[in-house]
Amino acid sequence: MKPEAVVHLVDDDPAIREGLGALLTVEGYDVRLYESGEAALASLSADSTGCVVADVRMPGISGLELLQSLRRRGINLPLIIITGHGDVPMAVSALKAGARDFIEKPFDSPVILAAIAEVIAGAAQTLPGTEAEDPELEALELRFRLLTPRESEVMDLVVQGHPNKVVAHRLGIAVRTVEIHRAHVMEKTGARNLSQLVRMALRLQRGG
Amino acid sequence: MTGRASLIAELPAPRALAGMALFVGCYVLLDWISLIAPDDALGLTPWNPAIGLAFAMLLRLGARFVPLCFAAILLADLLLRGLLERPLAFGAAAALASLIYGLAALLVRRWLGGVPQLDANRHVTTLLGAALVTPLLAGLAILPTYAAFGLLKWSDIADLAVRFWVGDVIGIAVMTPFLLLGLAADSHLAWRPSGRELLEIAAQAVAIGFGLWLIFGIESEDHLEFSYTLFVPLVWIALRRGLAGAVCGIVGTQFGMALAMHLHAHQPAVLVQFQLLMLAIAVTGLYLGLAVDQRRRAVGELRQSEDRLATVVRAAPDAIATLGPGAAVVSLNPAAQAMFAISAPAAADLGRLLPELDLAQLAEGAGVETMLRRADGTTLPVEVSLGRSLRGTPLTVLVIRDISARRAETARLMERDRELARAMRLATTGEFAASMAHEINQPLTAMIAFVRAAQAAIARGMPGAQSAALADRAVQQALRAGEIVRSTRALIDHGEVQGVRIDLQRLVGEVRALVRAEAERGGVEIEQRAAQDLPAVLADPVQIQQVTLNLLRNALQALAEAAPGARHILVTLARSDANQRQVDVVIEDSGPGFAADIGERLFEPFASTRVEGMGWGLRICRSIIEAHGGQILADRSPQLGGARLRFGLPVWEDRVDEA
Repeated sequence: MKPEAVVHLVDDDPAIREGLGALLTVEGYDVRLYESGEAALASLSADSTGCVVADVRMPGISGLELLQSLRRRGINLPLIIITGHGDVPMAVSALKAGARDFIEKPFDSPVILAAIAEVIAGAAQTLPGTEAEDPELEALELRFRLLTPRESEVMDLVVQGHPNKVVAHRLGIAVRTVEIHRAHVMEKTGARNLSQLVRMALRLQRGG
Repeated sequence: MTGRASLIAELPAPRALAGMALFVGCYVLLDWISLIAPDDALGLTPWNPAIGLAFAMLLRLGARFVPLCFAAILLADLLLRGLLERPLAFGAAAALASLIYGLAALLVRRWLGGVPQLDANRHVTTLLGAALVTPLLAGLAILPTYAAFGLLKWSDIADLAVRFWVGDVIGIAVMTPFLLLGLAADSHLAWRPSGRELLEIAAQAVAIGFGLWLIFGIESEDHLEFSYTLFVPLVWIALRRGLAGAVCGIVGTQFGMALAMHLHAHQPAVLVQFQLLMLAIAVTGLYLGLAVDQRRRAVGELRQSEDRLATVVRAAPDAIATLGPGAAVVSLNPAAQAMFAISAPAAADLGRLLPELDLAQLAEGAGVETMLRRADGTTLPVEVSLGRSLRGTPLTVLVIRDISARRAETARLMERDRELARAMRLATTGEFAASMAHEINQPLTAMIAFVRAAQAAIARGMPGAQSAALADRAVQQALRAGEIVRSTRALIDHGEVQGVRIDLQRLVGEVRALVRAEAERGGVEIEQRAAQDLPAVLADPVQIQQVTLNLLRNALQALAEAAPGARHILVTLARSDANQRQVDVVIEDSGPGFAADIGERLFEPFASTRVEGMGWGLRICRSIIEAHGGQILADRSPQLGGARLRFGLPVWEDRVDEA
């Protein structure tokens, strides 16, 4: 087991902690469980390694606040946010604040495992300028290039978490038209839902 | 007489007194100059302008003028005819004259409803009628009176009567119209002629003079045969100046003729001839002048009316086009030019501009909505109404109104109505939450079942792959529950559809798989039919699955009441007949169907008599379908006899019209 493969799991819900914890342990990660953001802050330090997986909504400090506190303390562990339904806007703000990825509940195991693997791999890259040739990224870029200018416009607004009505108003078109463009975007990019689309766009942004 | 009494009763103002004095003075003066070759003590000449003056005043001022008239006649007789020798005779004659003419004036005023304005044929004719008749009566009264008093011989009466009559007739015919017009409030005669006009008047006067010279001036004889020449200047004056000019011309001609006759000293019989000529001239002049005035007035009124109409047409905000025979455009008002983007009427081709309009069919008054097509290709929704005039040249008038604003407004209102209806019918969050909770229970229940099954498989030592597969299915159910929540949340929070491209055949097939067990238990046959060219649709898959599932479950429940063996459900997928861009999903069953009068209540919760809380279902379904821009309709299935529910979904389009 690699020493970097530590996963700090922060969630107030015991079922998530235990269930997800069990899944990650079986996969070979060193899992540390925290039942609140405060508990995590108490334990983590600049020497800590691995990554953090935190729920965005918690009774005490939120996942976003946890992120900001960690950064203030100079703890730069990569952080993945877990969101509930309709939390895409919050997820987008978390991304802007520096979270590396977000996952929408309920998720299947491959999704979370891939996300964690990627985040940890990304942290291991210390040499700047060496961008690994990523065939997946290239494929993604290709797909996004298929979008028409209007579709790109719609996509840009949608991945920021704006509802269709707002997109329609901003672009001066009908809501129905936005729905159609959005559907075309989903079709062309292959995203199955909004959070997937957001993550694709995020990846593109990072990689490109 | 009352007039006399009132005249004494009211104290006349100084101006009135001056007026009276003026009248009397003028009367005497006129009487004096009318004495052309008087050959008797009575001084009866065939020219009596004084009575014309008196009659004019009687017409203007009415019965109260009679005493003044009487006074004037007396004074004239005193100064000119030796009243004092036979005071009684002259007094009686004067009284008779005043009374008879006074009565005549009264009758004329009655008949015409006031002081004659001389602006209609009726007035002139009545005046001339009075002028002809009254002197007859006056003569019949006065001359015998004179004879009775011995002022004239009974044998001379006939002769004198003619002179008397002619003189009075002419006097009235010439003087009275002149004075009536001159004394009227808005007198035409009070006008300042320009230099050119003065020249013309001078020329006309010269013409009169020339005529008179021809008759009287050449050699020492009269040339009555040239009398026609006097008509010419009068006709000229009447045509140029109307009645106002004519009366001046008449007076001028009369005075000229009187002067000429005076200078030539004629026999009374000849004088009568000349005066009759004068009468003819006067009558001609009066009627001609009147006709010219009337025509001018009519033309003026017509012009004003046309101008008014033109102003209305010009200022109208709607396009007004007039068409001649053959629907050729004759005129376009400014609004029409702007609307058609055409400036010349000749360039307007109605067949091109309003291609959908059939002018022949258009009834007068009714407005028809159609499309205007301009030359540059732009279109405008308009409403066209038509008016036809059949008098004279047939004329058609089209009024075309731009109704794009109205249409846009109507569309806006309709859109607002739709949104409002949708918002009102969109179930409250509570209802959706209840529906969502209900829907999630299905996958949760399934999950438990799968996991327990997996455990049981392990406990019984079955191959690991089997339990793994069961566990996998449990996961699928959980993910499905997540999708249900996500999609319902989107609908609740923003009323929005997160649509993707859907193959309806597959989706319906999946839903059928979900209810297969239940259908088999109930002995229900579910048939799915799809049109050959069924296109993909744009919709939220989870929501449409929900709707289809709900409708199928409703049908299954209904069929529990049907006879076994006759339990059928038919699902049909086809492009909508009414709308090429919509696919219709029809789910019908052979159950009992809906109550005939259930109507809107069908979509209310608990409208159905079924037990299991399915009551929420149809309402949510309708909200979902309406969020997709479609409609859910419920009626009776003609094929299977039970309930039929239909909803439409938008076709997946690769192209998009930006709207």
